Amino acid sequence: MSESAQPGKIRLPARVLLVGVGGMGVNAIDALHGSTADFMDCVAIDSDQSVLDQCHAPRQIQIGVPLTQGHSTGGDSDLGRRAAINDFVKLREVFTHSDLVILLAGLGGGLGSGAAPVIAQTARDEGALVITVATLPFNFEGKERAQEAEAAVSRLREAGQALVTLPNEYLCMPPHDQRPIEEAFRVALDQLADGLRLIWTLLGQRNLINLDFINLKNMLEHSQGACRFVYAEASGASRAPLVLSRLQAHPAIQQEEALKSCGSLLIGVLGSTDLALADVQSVVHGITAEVHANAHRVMGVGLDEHARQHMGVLLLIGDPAAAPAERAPVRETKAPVKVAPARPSAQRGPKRIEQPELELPTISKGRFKNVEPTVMDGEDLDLPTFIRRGLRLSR
Amino acid sequence: MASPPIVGLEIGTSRVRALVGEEREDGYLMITGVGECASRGVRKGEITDFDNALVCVQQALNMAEEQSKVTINQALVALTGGHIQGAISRGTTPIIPADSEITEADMQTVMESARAVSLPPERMTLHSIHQQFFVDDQQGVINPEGMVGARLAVSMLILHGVRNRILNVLKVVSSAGVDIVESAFGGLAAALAVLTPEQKESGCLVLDLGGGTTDYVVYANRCIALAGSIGVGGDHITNDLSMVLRIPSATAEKLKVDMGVGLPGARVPDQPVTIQPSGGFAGRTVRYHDVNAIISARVEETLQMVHTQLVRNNLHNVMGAGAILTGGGAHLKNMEEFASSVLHMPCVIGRPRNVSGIATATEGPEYAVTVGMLRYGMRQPARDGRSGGLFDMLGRIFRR
Ligand SMILES: Nc1nc2c(ncn2[C@@H]2O[C@H](COP(=O)(O)OP(=O)(O)OP(=O)(O)O)[C@@H](O)[C@H]2O)c(=O)[nH]1
Ligand SMILES: [Mg+2]
Repeated sequence: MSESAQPGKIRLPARVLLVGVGGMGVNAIDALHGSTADFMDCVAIDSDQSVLDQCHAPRQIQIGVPLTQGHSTGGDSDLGRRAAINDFVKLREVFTHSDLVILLAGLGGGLGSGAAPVIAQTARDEGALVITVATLPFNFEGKERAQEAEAAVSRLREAGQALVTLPNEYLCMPPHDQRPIEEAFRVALDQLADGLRLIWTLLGQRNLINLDFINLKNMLEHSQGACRFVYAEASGASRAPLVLSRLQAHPAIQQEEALKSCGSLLIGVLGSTDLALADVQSVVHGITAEVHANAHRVMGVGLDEHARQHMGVLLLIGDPAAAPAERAPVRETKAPVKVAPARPSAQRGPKRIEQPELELPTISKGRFKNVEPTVMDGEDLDLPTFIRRGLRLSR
Repeated sequence: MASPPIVGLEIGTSRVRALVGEEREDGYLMITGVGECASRGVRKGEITDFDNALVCVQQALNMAEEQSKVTINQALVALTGGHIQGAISRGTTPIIPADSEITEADMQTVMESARAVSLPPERMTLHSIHQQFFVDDQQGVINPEGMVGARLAVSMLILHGVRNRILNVLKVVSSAGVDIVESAFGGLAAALAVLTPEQKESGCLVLDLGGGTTDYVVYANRCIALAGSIGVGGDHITNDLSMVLRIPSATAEKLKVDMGVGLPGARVPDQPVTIQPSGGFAGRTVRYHDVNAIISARVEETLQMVHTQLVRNNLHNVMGAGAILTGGGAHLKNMEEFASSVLHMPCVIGRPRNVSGIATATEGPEYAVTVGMLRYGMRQPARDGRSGGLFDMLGRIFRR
């Protein structure tokens, strides 16, 4: 857990929970296995028993069993949504003690697109800051998935507080690459895992240029609820120019021109102990040259004692929507996020202080838990109408 | 004494109720004993804990026995549960020779064929109620006997439910040492207790708002056009409040009763509602608007489901007498007005008619079902089991 005070580490200001939703989310948790996920509290959520069976997360929550009979939603996002609603009490209990929830999901899938927004809202209603980190489908996955993903993006932005997207299509793989598809999937996962690991390390230690939870929170609030996730790394003597060129070649930067139009930017640099100031300078200058002077910038630079001749850089590019979607030739759909005016951050409520935690007996479906559910048109009517209709308590 | 005492029993989700009554010579029902016990082991009208349910039934019966000074060894038992559904079945038979007079035997034949619906094996027929006869092309025939035609048809409302759940209820009663004279769908009983002949004639909806179920019966076109049960009731409102606001059930129940359902469109200033500590619960302040939104959402949805049933069966515009609300849920503040706005018809609270005796049972809509069971018993002249189906109410309810 983040709270264990290790020497040289600073205590994170938050009780953090890493949540993987759906096949992609659960894979992502596994990709983080062996590093970040080991000292973070994590939960895997899926309707699909076979997915949960294979994952390493210490806590697993199966949702929507009566609706899916323990299988996947088969890409049906409405089923995914109902699966989450079906188990909202279980989910709510998971978030009762979290300050920060990082939600990982693959948008386009039934559970990722349907359940993730409900889960994000549930976590938010419990008073947690929610950051959803989600992949967007490959082009080859088809229009339907792209549309599902797009719809999920808008729902997530309504429900959560921050959405970081990573289009699978933006993988740094050269065209005509003959590597198997499994590997393509793997690359995105690795980027996601490495990027998260980087930011996690920066948040959890004292740095040369410090980055803390509040910085991150502010940056995300400036991002109008959506930003792009770009990660690159390199090793060896010329790692700095290599990293820079990899970043500059990244489709989000090269084709989408996200940097030119961004309203906020986070740069996280993690290097081996021999990291040179010049290296940092060259990379940061290279990246920020195009960025508007008024953009909100946050930076963190830290050292990784275990690495050798290595440099990793994570960019969170806020509000990339101003970059015209049609200039991103890689994507045929408009998946680069269209930005609707975001809720002013003031409305993003603080933790509910007036509602102290309660020591109530665990309720799952309250008094109806042992009775055959009243199901109509696939909806479990025993669950509060208020919840099923997505209504929210006033603050 | 005009008749031997009869006993009506309802094993409700919130209460078990027993009534002892006698039929007076003027047709009035004289209530001589009331027994009541808060239910345990009953959810949504179904038995979930046999032993607890049995204890409650015994308590209610004992209370009624003490008050009425009779020994109860027979009862009429009301049945409910979300599993109870209505279906319309049609039967047809040729008149042989063609264009001869229709006989009583023809009517029996055609009704028999309408009753012969094939239900899933776990289900049984509770009632088969004939609605109207068709003689050749003429519809809406009440009594075809003596008419001339080539073909006779009938439509019947078949009320069916899950056999084991019905038998469980009956088993609890017989385990309490009571013979079951009859059992009937609670919604029909409520209708029998509260409706005036005029209401039946003009068409109306009887809505029994129970703790665990909402039972509906529709009178239209001079017959029982539709009936059924939805497994959602007042308990759900309480549970919703308890779950969403995270307050104990008992506290939620009180909040529900205090607040009632908000009036649609009414602008009420939001205000904090203080919920007192109790047991391990530390107390809390919630918002008036939130409580209201939780209750209204549930009540609206439940009523809307009934309305959808009406629309589906094209019955939403044929109820001249509007809706008559019975059951404990009818007590919810503003319920009549709220229901009117969702169902798009006038709604009134239904109270048992033509009863005298112990006041509580003569006044409240929550007694409609048990009083109705007594009425049902009064109308069973010969209990010779000749009736069709399990309990054929064939027109008896409709006949005055
Ligand atoms: N990069 C990467 N993307 C993945 C991976 N698995 C799934 N995705 C993406 O995530 C999307 C959702 O897929 P899943 O997560 O398997 O779907 P799900 O959310 O479990 O939903 P259902 O299985 O339909 O119930 C896909 O369209 C892919 O774009 C993975 O291992 N790596
Ligand atoms: Mg899946």
